[in-house]
Amino acid sequence: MTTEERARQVVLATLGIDGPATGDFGRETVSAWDSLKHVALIFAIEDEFEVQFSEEQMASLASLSAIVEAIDAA
Amino acid sequence: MRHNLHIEGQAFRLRPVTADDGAAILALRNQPELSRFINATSADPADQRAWLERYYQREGDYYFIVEGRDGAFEGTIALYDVDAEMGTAEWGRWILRPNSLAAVESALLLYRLAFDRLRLETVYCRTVAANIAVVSFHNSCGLESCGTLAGGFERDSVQHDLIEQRLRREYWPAVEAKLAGLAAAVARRRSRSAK
Repeated sequence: MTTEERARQVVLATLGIDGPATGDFGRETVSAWDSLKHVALIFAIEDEFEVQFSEEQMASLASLSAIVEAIDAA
Repeated sequence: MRHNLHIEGQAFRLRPVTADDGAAILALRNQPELSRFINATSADPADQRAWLERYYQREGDYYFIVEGRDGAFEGTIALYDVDAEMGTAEWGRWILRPNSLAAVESALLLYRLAFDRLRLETVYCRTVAANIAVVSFHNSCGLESCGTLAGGFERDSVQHDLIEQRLRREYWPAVEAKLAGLAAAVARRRSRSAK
């Protein structure tokens, strides 16, 4: 499973939604991605990939693509 | 109303609004991306001072600055229309600077004021229906949806529906546990980032 596929699974599970199954998505387009779920999914991503993001990064990881990029750079 | 309530959290805290906060509040409330779903705010500092003076006279209205434990300004939040007899209050004026991580803990601290200090039975909030992120936040916390107030908010001559959500005391322990867990995780992260 690719990093994107794993990250997608974690994000969707935390948000409690089924999709989208492909392509990028983020806080701008997903109404369920609120401030509370954002914090929860960032920590879930950190646990899944054994990475740690800085406080400054946390706010900027507002889309699947941004999250995947940050995981790869960690 | 003038009050001296300070509510400390792990990473953030609530302190009473003072006249010295006027400029920061004005700047926050007039940011286009933050102001769409709130009452229009005059950019005139004199109007802000006058509003605060009226607020100081209003019983049952607790307005706070949300700030980091280091004093860094994050935003505002308030509990108002406190009805001690009915045990109810509304909360709002919740505006945080872009990219703030204070949302979870500021809500937690506000609820602790309402349920633990003021011993209220129900706290409710009314959010513009189009403010989907905030409506979702309240749902994610575990608040109950009470219904829609059609045309309950007007801005720029356009009427918007309001979604009313509430938290009753019987559900507060579960909500507190959820918010406190996330707030603690944010606090640990901020502590590490500060080193």
